[in-house]
Parts: sequence; structure tokens; C-alpha cells
Amino acid sequence: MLQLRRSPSAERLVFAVLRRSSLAVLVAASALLLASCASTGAAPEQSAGSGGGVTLEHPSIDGLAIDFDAQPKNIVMDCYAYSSLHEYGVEPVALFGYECDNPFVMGDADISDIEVVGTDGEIDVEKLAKLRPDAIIGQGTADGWNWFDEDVNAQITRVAPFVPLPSSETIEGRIADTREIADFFGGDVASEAIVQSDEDLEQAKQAFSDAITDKKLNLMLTSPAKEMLYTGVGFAQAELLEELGATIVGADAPKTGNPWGQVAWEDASTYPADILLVEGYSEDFSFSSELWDALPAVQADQLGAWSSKGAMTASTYAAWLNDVAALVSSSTKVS
Amino acid sequence: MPSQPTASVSAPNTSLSGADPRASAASNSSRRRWIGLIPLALLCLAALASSMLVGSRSLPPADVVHVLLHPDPADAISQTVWLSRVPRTVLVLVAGAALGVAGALMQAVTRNPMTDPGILGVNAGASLAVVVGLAFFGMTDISQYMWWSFAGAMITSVLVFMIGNTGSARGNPVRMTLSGVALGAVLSGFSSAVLLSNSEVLQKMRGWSAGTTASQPLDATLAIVPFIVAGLILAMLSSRSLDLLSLGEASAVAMGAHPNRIRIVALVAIALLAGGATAAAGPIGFLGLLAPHIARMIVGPHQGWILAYSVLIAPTVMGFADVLGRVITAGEVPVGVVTAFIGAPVLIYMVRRFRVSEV
Repeated sequence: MLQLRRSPSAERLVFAVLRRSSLAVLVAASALLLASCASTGAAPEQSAGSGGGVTLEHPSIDGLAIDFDAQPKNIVMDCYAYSSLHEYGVEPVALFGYECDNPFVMGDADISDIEVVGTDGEIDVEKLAKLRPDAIIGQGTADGWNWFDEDVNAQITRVAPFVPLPSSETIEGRIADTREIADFFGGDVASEAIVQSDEDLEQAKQAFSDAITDKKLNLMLTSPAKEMLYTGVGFAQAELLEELGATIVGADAPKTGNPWGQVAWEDASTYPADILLVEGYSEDFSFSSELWDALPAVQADQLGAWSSKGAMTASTYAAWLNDVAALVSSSTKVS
Repeated sequence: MPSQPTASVSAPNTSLSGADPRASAASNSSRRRWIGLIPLALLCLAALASSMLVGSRSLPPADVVHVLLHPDPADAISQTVWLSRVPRTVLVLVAGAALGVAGALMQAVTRNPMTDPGILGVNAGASLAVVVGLAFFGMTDISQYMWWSFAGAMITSVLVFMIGNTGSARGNPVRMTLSGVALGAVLSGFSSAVLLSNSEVLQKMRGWSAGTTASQPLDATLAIVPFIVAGLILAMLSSRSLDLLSLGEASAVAMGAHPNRIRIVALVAIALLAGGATAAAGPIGFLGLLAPHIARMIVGPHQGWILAYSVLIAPTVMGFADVLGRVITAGEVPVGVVTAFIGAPVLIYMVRRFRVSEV
């Protein structure tokens, strides 16, 4: 059973807002809050540097080449990076970021002995600098981590080069690009376990495909909030399910900026969903709203988990697809 | 058109023969104010009707009326009307009236036309209480944290009063306002400190902290109605005393008033009103500032009339703002955001276009 917690992409941007403005304005940009998952074009390619140094040509950010004086060994990561890279044996000297205690994100990665230099949206730059890292890996762009202010990113990139996690448009692309990053940092990308996870993923895809073909159910990827229902049409996870034969319903994302579709609660029942995949869904899921509770899929308890983030590995997605396939098999048409 | 305060502060009628022109003028003013309530009431009804009829989901008015008369829990339209539009409309009326009157009271007590529940720290207190409840006491939904918000608003009001209105310089309205601003800043700082290190709490209170009428169950709104009714009654009973207070501490005392007692009663009313409204709808800015200003421009510095007009003006503004927020984007813009967006320009326009009345 997957144990997901809501991916707090919304909160991340809010934290940045919090530093500068009051709570009253906090959610003024509520529609923009979930906007940290947009992908960029990918042209994965990796090459070595010259003159003793090495260069990472980023696999999914076109034209981004990151130079290192020598092969980087001391690496600080955010927990998203570690959740993906630990499978390849890439170990950090310190961690920071969100969801470090989320079992779904971290999987079997044991972080108890790893130093923590930041929690959620905060980081101790002095602690970071003392570690003299060769590289910092995390979710972000060439300019730095997604949820740090510009000035914080300027500070951390003075400490060490920042390597953004891949943001390819497809799950397969992200897994492959993450593997390239792992390879660059000395990870074992051809181990038996990795080969097995690839096979598991293919089997899970088939299992989901078989289940959804039999049932013909509509799925909606959601993130419910008091102010409105957010839907994940167009996310890589939704695209994967669609490729495998699922019908994904929900509001399209706005044309610019925000990858989340926005559905006023009044309109929630106009999307004929038989299964609701809830970002961060777990056994202690506690969201409640009268119009949410009235949705047919909620009343039928046909709820499952998804996450717009989490470990970008074949084993993680194999497990997720198997869970969703099981949910599909046990669900009925209610929309 | 601003006018002078009437009965409670005007000179007694000493004329021995015929009608006193001042009494006659006061009577005419009073009649005009009563008549002025009619279009305002109609506007308020229009706002409430639009809240029932207009939403992100397009429903024919006949269908809305039909399901209002014949509710069907299994029908999607009936669910939309009964689980969304009815609770929102009731909330607009209740929270709007409460915030409007709370703002008017605050401006009267502090003798400062630029105060509202936000300035006096009430919103910050309510927000901190919600943050604490979510972060440390395992609250999960609005029916629980609503009462924390209420308690936070009440406690903050009392603290502001104690800090700003005790000691040698008590009665100084500037001191009380500054106390509210300072305490609000401290409380907001505590909230931010918790939120910055707890993304789950931030996620949970995101919608509430924007000030929204969405997803608020009718039961939860009805639960605060008794507090708001009590606050409204206290406010109305205080209106004559507040008129005396508006003349200044010394004049009020000379006319037999007890300024501190007046402030305490008003503060209890403010706490009930602002606390109740903030608990139900989250911190909604500008409404408590805007409504009394509009009222004062119409009726002049007469607290009773300002309160009465604010009861109608605030839900009217909040109702139309909420409806605008529902249709302006594909999702929704919270009413707290819309009131700020439309309230600020309207206030600036009024300040430039008309003479701003003193409190």
C-alpha cells in the first residue's frame, strides 16, 4: 500500500510569500500556489569536462552545463533527490527540504544518520557552507531550488553548484534522466535491483492497462482544498495513466504558469470520476467538505493515492501503478 | 452628505413657541436616513439573490428556486444549491453584517477612521489561534478550528484593550490603535514562525486564511449566529454612548458618560462580531474599513445610523465581491482577495471624490 502525503508544492511557494507579506495575502495567489511542477524541454546528454574538471550536461534542461573542478563527492541533496538517488547508491553528506519524513517519498531510504541542514522551506546556509559540498542536488531550475528566495539561492549557489532534478515531460523520461544524474554522481545504474525494477515497472504498466481496459472507469487526479478542487490533468502521472488506457477527467490547467486545473466546488460533480486519486492520500486523510463528501467516488470510497513528486524511480512507479491497478479492479462505475 | 449628530449631542430644545428649526431639521434628517435605508436594503437583497443565483456552475434561476422548494439530496443541482449557495449566502449576510458593524465600532472607540478588525490585531489573533490548534492540538477541520479562531479574536481584543486603555494615558485612541498594530505584528510573527516550519499546517489553513465563503457548512455558520446577534444588539445599545465618546473624553465625562465603560461594552461587541465573522469566513480585510466609511458619508457622524447602514452595506459589498470571485476565473478567487482588490480603489476614489467625514 502506498503511503502518500500531500505533496506540499503549494506551500512551498507560499513560504516564499510569507517571508515578504502578511498572512492575509497568503492565499491571494492560491491559484498559483501549486505551480511548481511545470516541466521543461529535455535534451538529455551527459559529457565529461576537460582539464581535470568534469561537466554535467543536464539531461532535461537544454543548454545547461554544470562545471565541477573535479568529480563531485560531497553532495548535499533535498529529500526528493535522495529519494530517487539512493536506489543507485548515491549518498549525501546532508539533506534539506520537504517531506523528509514521508515514507512514500523516502521509501526505504534511511536518513537517521544523515545530517540535516534545513527543514521544509528553511536552510542553514552556514551549516551548509561548513560541509564544503561539491554539489547541491534538488528540485529546481538552473537558478536554484524551487522554494528558496532569490537571495537564498544566490547564497547556496556560491557554496556549490546547484544541480536541478530532471523535469522531463514523461515519467519514463524523468526516470531515465534521473538515472543519468545518478550515473554522473557515481551511482550504480545497472545493478540487478535496477534491472529488476525496470521489469517490475513494465509488469505494473501491463497490470494497470489490463485492469482499466476491463473496467473502463474514469480517473481524476486531485488535490482538494477548502477554497477549490485542484486537478492534475496534464501531469506526467496523468499522462502515464492515459497512455495505459485510462480516461482522465478534470479541468485543464491554465494556459500559462500553473499546471493545476482549478475547479470551483460547485463544478466538482460535473466531472464524471469513478475513482479519485488524491495527492497525499493516506489512511489518515482527513479532508472534508460537503461537496467533496457528496461526490460519487467519495461516497463509494473509491479513493487512491498519487503524488506529483516523490522518488522518480522505476520501483516507485511500479508500486504505484500496482496499487492503482488494484484500486481499479475493486472499483465500480459510479459516475 | 455629511450632517451633524442629532438628538444625543445637540442642544436641548428651549423654544417656547412654535417649532424649533433645529428640531425640524433633525427630524428631516432622520426621515431621510430612514428612507435611505430602503434602497440599501434592496441592494443588499440583490446581492444576496445574486449569491443564490450566480456561481461558477451555471444554473437556471427556475431550477434554483425549484430545488430550494423541493430539496433532493441525491440531485447534483440540489447539492450545489443547498451545500454551496445557501451556506455561502447565509455566511455573506452574517459575516458581512458583523464585520461592517465591528469596523464601525472600532472606528468609534478609537476615534480613528482608518481602523478595522485587521488593524486592531483581531485577525492576527484569530489566525494564530487557528495555527496553534492545527499545529499542536491535532485539529483537522473547520468545525474545530472555528472555535479556536473565535477564542483568539476574543483574547486579542481584550489584550489590545488592556494594553492600550489602561494606565495613566488611558483613553488615548492613538495608543489603543498602536497597541492593536503592535500586538497584531507580534501575533503574525508567531504564526509565520510556525507556518514556515510546518507545511502541513499551512496547507490546512490556506483556504481559511484567504478569507473565503467556500466549503463552509451551514451548521458552522449558524453556530456563530447567536454570538453575532449578541454583538449587534450590544453595538446598537452602545450607539448613543459612542456619540458622546466621539466628542472627546472630557466632553463625554462632562455629559455624564463613562468612557471606559463605553469602551469595554464596545470591545465585547467587537470581539463577538469580528471574532465570529473571522471564525466563520477567515480574515476578510477592508470590509470593516469600507462599510463604515460609506455609511458615514451618507449619514454623517451619527453612530446609530452608521451602525444601521453598515449592517446593510457590508453584506452588500461582500455579497457582490463573493459573486465576482466565483465567476472571474475558472476556479474561484476568495472573497477576502476580491474585497481587498475592489475595496482599496473604491476607498481611494471616495477619499478623493468626497470629503471624508470625521468619526
